[in-house]
Amino acid sequence: MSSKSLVLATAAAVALLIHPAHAQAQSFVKCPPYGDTLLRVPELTRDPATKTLKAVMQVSDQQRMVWFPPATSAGTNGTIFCAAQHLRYFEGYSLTNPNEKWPVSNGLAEPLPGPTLRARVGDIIEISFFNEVNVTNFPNSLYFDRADRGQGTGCDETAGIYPSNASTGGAINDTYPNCFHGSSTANIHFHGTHTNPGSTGDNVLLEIRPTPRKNGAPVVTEQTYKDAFKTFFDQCEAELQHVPSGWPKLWGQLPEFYRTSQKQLLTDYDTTVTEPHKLWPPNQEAIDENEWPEFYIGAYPTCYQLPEYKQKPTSPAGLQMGQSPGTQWYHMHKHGSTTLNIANSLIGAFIIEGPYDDQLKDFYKSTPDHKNWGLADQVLVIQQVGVTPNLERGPNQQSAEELSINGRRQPVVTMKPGQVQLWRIVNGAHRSGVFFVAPNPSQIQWAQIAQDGVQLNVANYAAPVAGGASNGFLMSAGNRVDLLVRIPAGTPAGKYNIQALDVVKATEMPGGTAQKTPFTLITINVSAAGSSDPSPAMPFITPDKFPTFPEFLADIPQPKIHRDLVFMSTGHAAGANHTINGEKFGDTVDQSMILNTIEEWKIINETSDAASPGPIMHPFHIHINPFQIVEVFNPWDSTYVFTKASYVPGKNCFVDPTDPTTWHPCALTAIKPPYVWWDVFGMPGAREDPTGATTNVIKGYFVFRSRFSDYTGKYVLHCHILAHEDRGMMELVEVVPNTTVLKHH
Amino acid sequence: MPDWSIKITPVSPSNPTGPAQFDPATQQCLGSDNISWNNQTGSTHQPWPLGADGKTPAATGWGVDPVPAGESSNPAYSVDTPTANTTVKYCCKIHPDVPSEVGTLDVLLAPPTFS
Repeated sequence: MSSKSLVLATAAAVALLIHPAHAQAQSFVKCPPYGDTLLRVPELTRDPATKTLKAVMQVSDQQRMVWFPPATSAGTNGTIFCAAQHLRYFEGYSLTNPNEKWPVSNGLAEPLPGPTLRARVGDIIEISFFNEVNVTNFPNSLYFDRADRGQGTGCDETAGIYPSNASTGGAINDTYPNCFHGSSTANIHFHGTHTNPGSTGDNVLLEIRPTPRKNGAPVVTEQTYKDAFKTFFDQCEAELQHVPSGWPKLWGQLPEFYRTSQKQLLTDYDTTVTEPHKLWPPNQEAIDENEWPEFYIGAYPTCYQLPEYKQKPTSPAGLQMGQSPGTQWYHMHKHGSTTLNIANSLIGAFIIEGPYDDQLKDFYKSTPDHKNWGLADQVLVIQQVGVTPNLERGPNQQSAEELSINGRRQPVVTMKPGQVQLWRIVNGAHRSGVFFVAPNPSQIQWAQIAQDGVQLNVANYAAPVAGGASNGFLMSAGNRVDLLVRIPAGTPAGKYNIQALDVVKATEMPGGTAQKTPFTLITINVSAAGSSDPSPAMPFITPDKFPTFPEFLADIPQPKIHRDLVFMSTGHAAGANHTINGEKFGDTVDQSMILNTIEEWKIINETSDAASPGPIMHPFHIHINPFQIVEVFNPWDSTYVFTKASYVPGKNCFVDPTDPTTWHPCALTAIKPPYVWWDVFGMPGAREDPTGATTNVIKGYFVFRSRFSDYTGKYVLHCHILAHEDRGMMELVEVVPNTTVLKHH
Repeated sequence: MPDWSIKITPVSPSNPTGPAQFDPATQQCLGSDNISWNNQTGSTHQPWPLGADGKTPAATGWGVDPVPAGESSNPAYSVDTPTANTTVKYCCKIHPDVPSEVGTLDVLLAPPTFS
């Protein structure tokens, strides 16, 4: 986008974002209408000259429009209502393209996602990050983390409700740190990046406290560290010319002024608390052990590379994987408050371009033979906006939030007959999976071309033929899908709704016993046929022109190393525990892998319909390295039958509820190579013996293979239903070097 | 459901430890909404419902701890669900005799409608 058009787009955004009729004070307000135009979230883009993305990002807070579902108790008449609420949000601007600034609203804003970041494989990401949240605007999130001051349980507390839930006889077992807490502490997870998981990279173990305030004004501002961060970024650019690189490794590699200033801020803070809640001592301990400190105040420099894979490595130190070009995203990832932060819309899309994009654009470019072609891309960030996790509510006020896209409910996107658009969809909901119901093929067709920011192998690309049906698909919380959306030529002008299902449990999938009512997620307004329509009609990209599959994404061979992880949730009456291998998140490493090895993991789900909360499809997510799924066993798949009498060889598969050796995929359901890459997968729910003859629970599972390549360090895996993560369904993993000091002489 | 944060501010900005007031003085809310108080004065205050006489603190409070100067209240108060639209008067438990330290919660059965 040119700077001129960007200015125009930004001006248009200003007009769209302000709701002048609404007062600024917190109050109930009139809801914005359904069916407003899809908002194109402005972008912060790369500097092609330096191959960097340089931005200032800030977490702030302001009054924003929030819509609420009807409560389950009497009183709200079953209607959605709206209120001006204080939300935290991302704002930012580009240091190289100053017109790129977001957001620009001074009025009551919609609950918008943060700016879309757009970079390219090989770039270095440099973000000056500031936490400017005024915590006095938020309940239970004091100036600093309550646990730091030894206040109460350390968890957020609602009188008589949480963390000990009176309505369940105090059965909820949430205890610090696996509870909702500390929601004004910030960091950023760059979900889908293959990069340094530590120091200034995709480091979610950081805790960046909000700036102190003096007379209401923030003490730490962009100006405080402007020079120090520039010095750091200059050096970072030089150091990251080596690929892959985990620089910086040591605290001493940060600018001296920043280090001195941060030590002073943390030491000042420590005068307000007692041991063991002080923050500088653990930092000093980490520094003394050459580990990366965890605590910061007000500001942090993020700098990492998106490694570009150019050729097969000639040595073990060479780049093994590389960053996949595709649709990634970013969000806050502070343990104990990911739910609330994502519900506040502290999320945004992160588009990483590469040869994949070049080849798509080349196929769809406008030429004399292909008039009015060109591939428009729509970035759609699905949100689930809310202000307080359900458990901190009274029992009659707990219900799922309405899903929206780019800050609007049921937005409308305009397309022309014969047009193909690239929809980059991010499911940024904190809980809900979204099942996209296949559309009427005479009106809309689609074809998936990438999963979780990794393009499909052409063998897995299935574009519908003319008039043919498209496939419905599930996006679990955290998933991304790149979709070519096509309006067949001759489609009459009109509005066509894309329907979706809110899915968390296996029984809520289409045809399931608890399937919910489909709702309109987005509407396509097909314009009347005209001279600006594509001519001829744009087809789905042909297999022979499909983007070349990168060498580093070839199938991973059968590994020798195997692990099993078991995910389990219990209902409120049983303590509402969310565990992996029977444990909640702690401060020790749960899984340790050797750099540049391949492994096969079996992810088992024991959460079933035998008891509350039912067969939740926990979305498994691991940071830094994507994985290939090679096996899925879903006992809810209609292909399986559970009695011998129902078994028809070649037509279905027999699973004997009394014989665990039969609890696996059969030939009809086996996944065949080439395997698809994912970084989030909704694991199949477990199922109690459907025949009723036993109480056996048939566990759902999937098996993946992954390379733990290029970067050492600590990071996490977790359930992407973020209330589960906050409450303990997370593990700390570490990739360790494959070197040793051992010498044989 | 919504969260509401009510400020506690000094009546006279030049006297931060003097009489305080609630801002907004009247807050609309629904049953089970969460309410917190943001103490922007130089003294500790404690929101507490008034008793039936509308003048003195009720025997039982909302479980909200005293709010130190410059901090927010804890725990959040989950508004009791009413059977009809209800006006709830409250005061500061620590300064029950200060006339300005009185506020109102308008607890609604349903959110207001807008045409």
